Amino acid sequence: MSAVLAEWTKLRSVPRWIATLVGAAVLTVGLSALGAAGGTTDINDHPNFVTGPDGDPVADGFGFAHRTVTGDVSVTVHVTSLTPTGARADRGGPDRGTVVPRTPWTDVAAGITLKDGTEPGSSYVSVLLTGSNGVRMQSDFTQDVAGTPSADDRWLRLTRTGDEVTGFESADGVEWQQIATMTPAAVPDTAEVGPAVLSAPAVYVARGMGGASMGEHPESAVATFQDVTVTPASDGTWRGTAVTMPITDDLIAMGAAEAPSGPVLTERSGTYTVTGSGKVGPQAPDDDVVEAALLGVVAGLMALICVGALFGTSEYRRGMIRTTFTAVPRRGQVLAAKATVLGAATFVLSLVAVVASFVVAVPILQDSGMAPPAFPTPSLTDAAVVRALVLTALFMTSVTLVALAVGMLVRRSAVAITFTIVLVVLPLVAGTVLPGTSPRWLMYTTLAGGLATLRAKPPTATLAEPWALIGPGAGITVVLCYAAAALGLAWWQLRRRDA
Amino acid sequence: MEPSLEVRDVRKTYRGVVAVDGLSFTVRPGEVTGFVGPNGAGKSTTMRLLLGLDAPDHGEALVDGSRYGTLDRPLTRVGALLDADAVHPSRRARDHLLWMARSNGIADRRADEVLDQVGLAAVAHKRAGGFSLGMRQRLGIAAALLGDPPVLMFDEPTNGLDPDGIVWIRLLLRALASQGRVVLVSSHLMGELQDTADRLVVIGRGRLVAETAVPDLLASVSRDQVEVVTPQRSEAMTVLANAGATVTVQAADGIVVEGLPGSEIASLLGAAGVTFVELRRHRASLEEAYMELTRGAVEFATADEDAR
Amino acid sequence: MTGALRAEWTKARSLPSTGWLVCVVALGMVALGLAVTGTLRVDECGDDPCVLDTVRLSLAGVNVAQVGAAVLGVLLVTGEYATGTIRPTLVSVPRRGEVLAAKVAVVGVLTAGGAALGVGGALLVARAVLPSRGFTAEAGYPDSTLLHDLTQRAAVGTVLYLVLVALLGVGIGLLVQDTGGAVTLMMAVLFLGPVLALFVSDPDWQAWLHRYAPTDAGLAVQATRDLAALHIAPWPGLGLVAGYAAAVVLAGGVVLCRRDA
Repeated sequence: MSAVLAEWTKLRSVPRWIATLVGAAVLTVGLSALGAAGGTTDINDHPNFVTGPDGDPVADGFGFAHRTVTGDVSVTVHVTSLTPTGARADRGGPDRGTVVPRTPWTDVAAGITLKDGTEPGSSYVSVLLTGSNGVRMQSDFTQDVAGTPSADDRWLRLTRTGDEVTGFESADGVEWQQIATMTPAAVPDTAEVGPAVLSAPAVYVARGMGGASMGEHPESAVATFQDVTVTPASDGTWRGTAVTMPITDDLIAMGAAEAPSGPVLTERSGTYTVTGSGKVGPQAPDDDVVEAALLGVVAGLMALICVGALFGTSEYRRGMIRTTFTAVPRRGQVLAAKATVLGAATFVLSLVAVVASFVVAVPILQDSGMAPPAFPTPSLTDAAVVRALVLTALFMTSVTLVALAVGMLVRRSAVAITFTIVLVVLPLVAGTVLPGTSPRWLMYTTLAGGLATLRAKPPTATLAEPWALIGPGAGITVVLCYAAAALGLAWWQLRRRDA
Repeated sequence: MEPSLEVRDVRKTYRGVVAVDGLSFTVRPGEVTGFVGPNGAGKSTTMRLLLGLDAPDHGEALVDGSRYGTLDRPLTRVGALLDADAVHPSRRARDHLLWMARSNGIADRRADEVLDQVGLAAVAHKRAGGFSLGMRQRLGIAAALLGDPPVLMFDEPTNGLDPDGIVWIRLLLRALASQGRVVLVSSHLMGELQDTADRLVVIGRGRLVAETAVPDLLASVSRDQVEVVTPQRSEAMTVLANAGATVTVQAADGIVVEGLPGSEIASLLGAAGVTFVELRRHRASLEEAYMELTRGAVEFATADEDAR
Repeated sequence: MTGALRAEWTKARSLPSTGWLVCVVALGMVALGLAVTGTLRVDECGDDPCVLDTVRLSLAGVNVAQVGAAVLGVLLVTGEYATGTIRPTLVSVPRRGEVLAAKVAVVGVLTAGGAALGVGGALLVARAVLPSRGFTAEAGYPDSTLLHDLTQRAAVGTVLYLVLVALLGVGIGLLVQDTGGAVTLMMAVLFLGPVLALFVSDPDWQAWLHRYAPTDAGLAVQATRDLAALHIAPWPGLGLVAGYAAAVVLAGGVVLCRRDA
């Protein structure tokens, strides 16, 4: 304890360090506010999304064979084939590069949808057989429950009882198993129901050569349905509708899908063939308001690294370490006390800085276009926001401790500072040059990965910033491992080496 | 032209703190001049001003009548030891001298010669970071001697030296002065200069306190004091004090008497039956002289402040 | 002036860190260059037809090399303040302008030497590696030889850029005097621009950063293809960095001459 007090006194009594620590916080907030003005986007003027039932940006486009039903109803189909028909149109963009793997929300799929009309963005429930993600039950662009991983032809059933909708699947139409029961937000008593076919665009990403370029290829799929039954039996005919997103000319110019031509639905002796194109699922932009609001973190981090390294190396200037070890002979304790004091001070300051950055920068970002509906207003009480802010402060703290440990190890401030800063920033610069998967590996193996903590949104391969490639958990783990390893090495060497 | 160091009415403040205030003195060749004063009196500042490292706010600090900054090949005109720590720890001793030599067109062999002269030849190729304070001090002295300059300045040269080293540097200083060079040596310990310096420049609080030859100074302080060694100290003190002398205790069995000639003391003590072992003229140490002088400086400063 | 030059050269030569940093400059160029060219595959190229600037990619090692150059420039100045040798330096050469000029010359020559080795090495490595990755002359990729005048410009420009970075380090070292502060500031100068450009989404701001940030502006000189897409033309970009370096070195010189040592 006394060692901790001693180290606190050492830190506190050098005005330059305190000034730099506070300066790091001020720099973080100031640069974040300044940079927020540069976060402009016009996505709300040229939306590539529609607004879902709960106000979030969503994509809603598919081939829909439907009839109107009222009240409790059960629909059963047998999906006998699901065939992607490939790119419907080639509109430029990269045709080489890596195809982003298809998630349950971006897969080719066929199944039954119960929906509030055919307007894109309306409330719905679906049970779907997907191309590579098995059977899924989805609702309202947010809920997604996995069924069996089956990819063969499959029997599917959707049963509505009051507000609740239950999905079932079966291999033979005899033995049924329940997938889930969901309560869609706003499917009215009278709704549209029937076979649906989805085929989200293929997304290609090419990295390296100074950035990431992303391209989409609209694709379509054809599915055949047999044994389509609706109970209670209702008369009326099946209608084919291509549910489509509002497409503006400039979006088409950017490569967006045009409304598919040709019939959505054909029927021959009880076999229904449905053609569909488009995606049903969340369509939030990959850009992240929280990340954009924390732009100053990189600059603040550099100042913190400087203090961290100097807090370590200054012991070795003018032989102060000998006084230190005379006062506290247990050397491990000295290092632990140093790390505790510096870590605590840095964490508090960083947390204050990132929270202040968030509070100051988010309104500015909203003024410059990062606003609802494309970017729902983030709140300090959102779990994702809290996670991002706390982990970012932890990231800044851990990197500062790495600088401290490296400083104790190499005893040269120039080396310690350069090494740590380079380990944070060089992979970012190199990550925009290196092709293929190397940026991802760089994020998993260097301190740069810690920047993933800045994001409140899930990882994505479609952005230029390489830290978006990995999740915040992986990012903070990398940095914590570095801090632990560096402190461990420093501890080991302190005990072994003469002062 | 005769080599010299000259300070003319120099004033220097650092962030409002006066370091040197209206200081003037001249250092002449052929003598060792001691530059003394308590810590913080302005000795190092004066030397930095002479070397053009700091610029005076007022007045001039001149080497051979010129500002240091205007000298060509200055290391061949002035050699200085300022701070023994001013060595890059990663640099080898010989390289430290080599770059200085080359900066002034001094032959590389001089580096080896001065290393030999200060007794560091054996560690010439060792990095200075591993040197003891005494070795760094010797390296600094070697650097000062590098250009064989007629003017030499040493700031606290005995710091960190062992007794052998202290004797060595005394002899070195005397030898340099006897070659007709200007030698200015600062110290805050008068005793160190007792057998070395010919003249003294004494400063306190950035002002000149005295500029004097050492024998004159000693004489002025010693005045008419007589030292008496006696086993009967208190009896002797009573007798002499009654006769009107000022008596101070000096050691367990010694007293210093002021105001009576030695012969009279002898007869007084004899008459009173007080035995004494020894009776001699008191020779003041430079230390005492210095205390006397700086006491005056302190009184002077206080009076000065009162006058404001 | 000769004396000051010889002294600064001896000083630089007699510090182990100098050799290491020159090695970082040279080996950084080659190593990162190899890492990039060695992993490049012609079929991963994002554009069609693929017009990769293989020369620029071969010289990507400049991102590492500039760290060595910057620290070299900083350390040769702040090392003097940290150890106090600035006083013997100014006692030996009282004309402070000469000290600065000599330092600039020595740092420049050292960096240029390391950089020339590194650039040459990186281009040789690229020449050996790239054809096996599909970047052949038949596919329209020029040999990485100095016969090509744009390659020549990229190579010479990279060396000059590294020299300017080192001089920027000298200037910042003189202004800050403290090793830790100066090194941190240099890293910020070199990397903050490119990293912030990753954060901001507004194309105008990105363009502004790419145009005026020292790294991006100075390295425009490496471009040998698609020159129209550059945010700043090659030589003006390098000129801008030269301007930054000159301003900082001059400011550092004024401080050196005015301030008590």
